[in-house]
Amino acid sequence: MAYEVVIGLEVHVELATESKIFCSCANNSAAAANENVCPACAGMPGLLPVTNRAVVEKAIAAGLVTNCHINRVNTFDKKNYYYPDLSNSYQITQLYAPICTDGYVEIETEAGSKRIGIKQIHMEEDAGKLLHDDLAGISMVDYNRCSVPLVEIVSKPDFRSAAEVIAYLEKLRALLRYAGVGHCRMEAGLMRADINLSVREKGDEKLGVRTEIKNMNSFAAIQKAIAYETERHIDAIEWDEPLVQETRGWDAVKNESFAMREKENATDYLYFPDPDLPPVIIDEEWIERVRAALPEMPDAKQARYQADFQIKRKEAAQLVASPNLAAIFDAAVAQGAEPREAANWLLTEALACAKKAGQSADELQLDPQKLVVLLAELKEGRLTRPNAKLVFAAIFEEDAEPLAYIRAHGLDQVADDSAVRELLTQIIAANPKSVADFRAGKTKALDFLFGQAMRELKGSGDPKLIRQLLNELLAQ
Amino acid sequence: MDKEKQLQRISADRCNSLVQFYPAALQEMPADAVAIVVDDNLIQRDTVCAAGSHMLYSFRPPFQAEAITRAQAAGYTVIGRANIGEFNMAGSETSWFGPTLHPQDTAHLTSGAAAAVAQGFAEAALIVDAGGANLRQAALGGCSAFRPTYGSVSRFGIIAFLSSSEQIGGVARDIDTAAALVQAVAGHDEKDATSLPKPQYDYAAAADVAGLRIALVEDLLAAAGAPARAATEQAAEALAAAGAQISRIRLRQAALAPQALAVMAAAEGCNNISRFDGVKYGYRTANYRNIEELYCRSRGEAIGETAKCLAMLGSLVLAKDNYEPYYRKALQVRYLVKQELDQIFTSCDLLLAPVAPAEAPLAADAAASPFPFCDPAHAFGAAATLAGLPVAVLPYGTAENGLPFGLQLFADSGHDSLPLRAAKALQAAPRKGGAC
Amino acid sequence: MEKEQFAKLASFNKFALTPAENERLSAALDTALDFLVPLRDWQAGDTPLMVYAAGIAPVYRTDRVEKIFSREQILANAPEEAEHCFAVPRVAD
Repeated sequence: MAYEVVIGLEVHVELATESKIFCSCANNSAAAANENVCPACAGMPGLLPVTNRAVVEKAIAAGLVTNCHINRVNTFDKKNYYYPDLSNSYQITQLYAPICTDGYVEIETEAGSKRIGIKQIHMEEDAGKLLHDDLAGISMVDYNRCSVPLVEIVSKPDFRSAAEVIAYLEKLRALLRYAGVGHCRMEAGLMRADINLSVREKGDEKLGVRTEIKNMNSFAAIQKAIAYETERHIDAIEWDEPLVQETRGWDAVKNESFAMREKENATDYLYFPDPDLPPVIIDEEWIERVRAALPEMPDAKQARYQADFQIKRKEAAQLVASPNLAAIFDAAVAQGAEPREAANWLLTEALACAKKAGQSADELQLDPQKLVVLLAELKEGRLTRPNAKLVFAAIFEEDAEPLAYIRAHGLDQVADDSAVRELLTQIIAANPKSVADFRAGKTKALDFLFGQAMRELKGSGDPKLIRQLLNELLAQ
Repeated sequence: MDKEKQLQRISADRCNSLVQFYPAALQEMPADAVAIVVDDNLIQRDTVCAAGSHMLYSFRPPFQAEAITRAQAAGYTVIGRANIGEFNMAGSETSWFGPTLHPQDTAHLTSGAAAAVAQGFAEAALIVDAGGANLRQAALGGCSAFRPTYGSVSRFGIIAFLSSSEQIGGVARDIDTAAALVQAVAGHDEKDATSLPKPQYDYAAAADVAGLRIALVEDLLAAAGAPARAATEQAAEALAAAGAQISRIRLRQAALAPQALAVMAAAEGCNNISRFDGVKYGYRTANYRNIEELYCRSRGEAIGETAKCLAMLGSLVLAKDNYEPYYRKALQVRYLVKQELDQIFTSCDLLLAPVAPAEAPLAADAAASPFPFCDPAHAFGAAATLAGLPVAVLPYGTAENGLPFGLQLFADSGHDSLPLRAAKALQAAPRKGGAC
Repeated sequence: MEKEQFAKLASFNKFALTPAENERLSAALDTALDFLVPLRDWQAGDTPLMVYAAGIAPVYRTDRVEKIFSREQILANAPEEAEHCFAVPRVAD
């Protein structure tokens, strides 16, 4: 019996706005508990929501980069249920008329390109957080995250494997980060996925019983969960045991899913249009303004790096994986850096320095102009590669001025050939035994003389040049 | 005004008009300030605001209703909070603080605002009118009142019930004073997304009805008792004598307006009180072992039956299978009611009708009413509420027991001065005959 | 009204009701539903809906942070507080 797994994803993305969606509290759930809370997001009566314009713009941007139709008139609805992290006992979301519908994301699979359909994107507000104190037997409610703006991106059930899911999430994350929609750091909970999964016999058109695993925020956990849940479904089918349509939790310690509460269609959320919020009306001009403000997207950028600069696919992909790194690269190239050199330095030295400093590619800071100057010195032969690495580290750690640093530390490449020749002549004269040994066939003697020369030159000699001159002089 | 005497009178109130009286505010009031009371569901900073409910008995918000802020800036001083039904969902008989008795006859009920103003405790009151009920109580309590077009006054700071249509209004012994208070607080507020863009309003209108086309609403006349009907007809005659053109119309689409209003009130009411869960503020039961008990016992113990009835009806009409036959249809009725009124106002300036079938209700009758919105009186305010129209009410005519009947005048959205003009004209005109 | 449906409505609204309340509310809801029958039976056709009041136009806020309230003010009315949070009984995951 051949089985096929059918997966749909609902991805919640926290938007990178300054303030919350309906009030002017700071959009920062990492602050001390209840610091970024006002009477509105704390569930007091008397307040009214007013929509943050930037939330609409980021939702439009999300729709544009996922090829969605932007609904020119969209509205907000109230979704009602009781839970302590929901301060008003309702969540404002979009059910009847979401902002975007009918899009797609293209992913690369082993079998080639595949389009994953997007059913809709809608704006909504997040809920607060619960911290549990089992000793005291209480849960503590922090409303910092309550009313933080989200877009929920609902895919069509087009996935057929965990690999496709991961490829989609990586692609989606890149698109949204480039578009400035959200930072999408999954470990920080800024992007969370709900997995909807069912299994059927290959060739069957009907969908099997669906279960949902919510709030997954790591690729590893998602892969394990899909594998586990698929097998659990197949087992149930083969052993003719009932499968319940339900929401399940994921135990990251046992690597198992567990039963939680019945799936959404068993709970009635009593949706109705929110009378306090006027409809969102989007005209062509607004869409064009958002579109014009979008930067070059990662796919196009990567293709350009490969075509225009002959950067290898793997390196190009690495560069575009971080919008920050790609931006530094673009700026450096624009200011005259040789692209492949710049790419190499960013992918090796810059990432290494960042790692040492505990920073990610997105966090690292580097002045592209300084990199350009450094690479020019290197190219003109005025700096050795080892010394260039030293200078780079100084630029990274202290934002040092490269030329000043080079002068201050005497790292100037000795470009004048005659001075080196004179020095080498002196060294040869001072070491007759080594010279004799070399002429007798002991090549190690050359290394000794070479080492002497480098020591004299305090490392600023060009090794290739020195060896070349030594050989030349010794041959005389 | 002799402040000492006033203090004593208010403290001796037998009608339970005020949930809380602020004697210090009265005493410290500047000479040129105007004393007002505000409904218990209008939020005042750092003061208890209970909306007539045990659930909010201890709730002191750190912010203030925009209308109160503007009133204070315009020289009004708040000297007390007026009693209302729990969450403003029904009459004061549902208030946790007990019913407000009619100053003219304590066997009958009225609103805290009407009783306070009628007894002269304050010059005026800021009220929240939901469904026309608060205006009705004002008129039947012997006061004039004015509710402007929906969106004229900011709803920021109202403990919400009927978000789609409730609106702040003014109550006073004469219509000018009521309108002046509304004028002081009306105008755009960026904290309320449903607030109309106009920054300022002018409700100063002359008592001039010459040439105004005023139509009597026959359906509401027919639904009223004979004495109240006669009082309304008398008012029509008085207006005709002052130069108005009187005609008669029927509101066909409004036949289902009371049902539509009840459905919206239930749905929005259910949703607006669901935030009262014992977690963040207000009443929490003393006896709970888990979150479910915390919720159910807190809300069970501290919310009254009428509010519970409305909330449960709300969750019924919003349930998946009921959404279309009840809630969606209510919004469709609303559309038709508005459309019909738009049509009527092309050939007519003002509509005139009784504000209720009879005088203010007996306490006994009110208490026995199981579900407020099927009370016949609610039908009288339904159409104007659904359409968000400006309404002026005043007492007119007297029942055998001496209690007043009330009239309502309403016009198209944005034509707020018209009801005021007619109300002023009626106030000024000598009344023909005595009691009806 | 059927007991089961009544119980669902009470449960959704988180109301713990006394038996006397059960009876009175059940009767009240029956009255309400009877009152609504004309609406339920009305043939709406494709009549448009009026969701928003007349004159309502789209309104937006600028994306700017304004911190007006301290967390002490936010927590001032809390029935139970722990570590600057609202405290409730331990909720199941």
